Amino acid sequence: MRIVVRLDVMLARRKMRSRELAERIGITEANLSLLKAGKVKGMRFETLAAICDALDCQPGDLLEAVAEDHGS
Amino acid sequence: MTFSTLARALSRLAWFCIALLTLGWVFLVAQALIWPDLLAPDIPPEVAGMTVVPLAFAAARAASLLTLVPAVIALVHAARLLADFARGAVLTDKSAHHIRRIGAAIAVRALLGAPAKTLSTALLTLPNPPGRQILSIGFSSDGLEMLIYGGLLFLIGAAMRLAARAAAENAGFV
Repeated sequence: MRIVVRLDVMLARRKMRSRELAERIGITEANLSLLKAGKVKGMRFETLAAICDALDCQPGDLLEAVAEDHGS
Repeated sequence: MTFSTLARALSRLAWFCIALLTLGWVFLVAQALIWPDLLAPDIPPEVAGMTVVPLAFAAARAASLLTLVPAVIALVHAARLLADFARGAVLTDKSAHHIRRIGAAIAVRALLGAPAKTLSTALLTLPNPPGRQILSIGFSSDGLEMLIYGGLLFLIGAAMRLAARAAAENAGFV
């Protein structure tokens, strides 16, 4: 099981650009880009709350648990 | 003075010490084996009523140089630590490793002081007839103090290692 960040989907739904979100939640665009790509070890509750507040959504709208694809 | 300048200076000093130490040992061995007469002016006519043989004198001097080895190792690690600082790598596992090594080298230097003195005395008096050989064993308060400083530095390095791991873990969080 792994956690996938659906931030790009929520950004598209809210018609908000990454740059604007980064400014509103107070993190760099580079870190937001890493978060969108799922290239971070974790997310602080503080950041999650700020994103939910800015995008008017729930943590469940941003994060999804998917089964690991082990391949053959 | 910047970290990189200090690192370069310490590195040069370390290499100079290594070269000096190696030359010192080579010179002492060569002096004792090839030109023992050259040692004559340095040898005291009598130590505690005993005569000193040139080879034993050179061996004792070489043994006393042993204590410089950990000091040079500490110097090399200090140079590498400063070079890391100059590159901006301050709170890293590598920096903590260098600090631990400096602490360990100081502790080893402290522990080596007593056996090196014992070895020098034993080598110096080894050629004497039985009953006139000396085995000196002792540990000075300076050695103990140095051991404490080395241990403390090692502990700081160990604490820094934990801090570096925590920092690396936090760096992965957004």
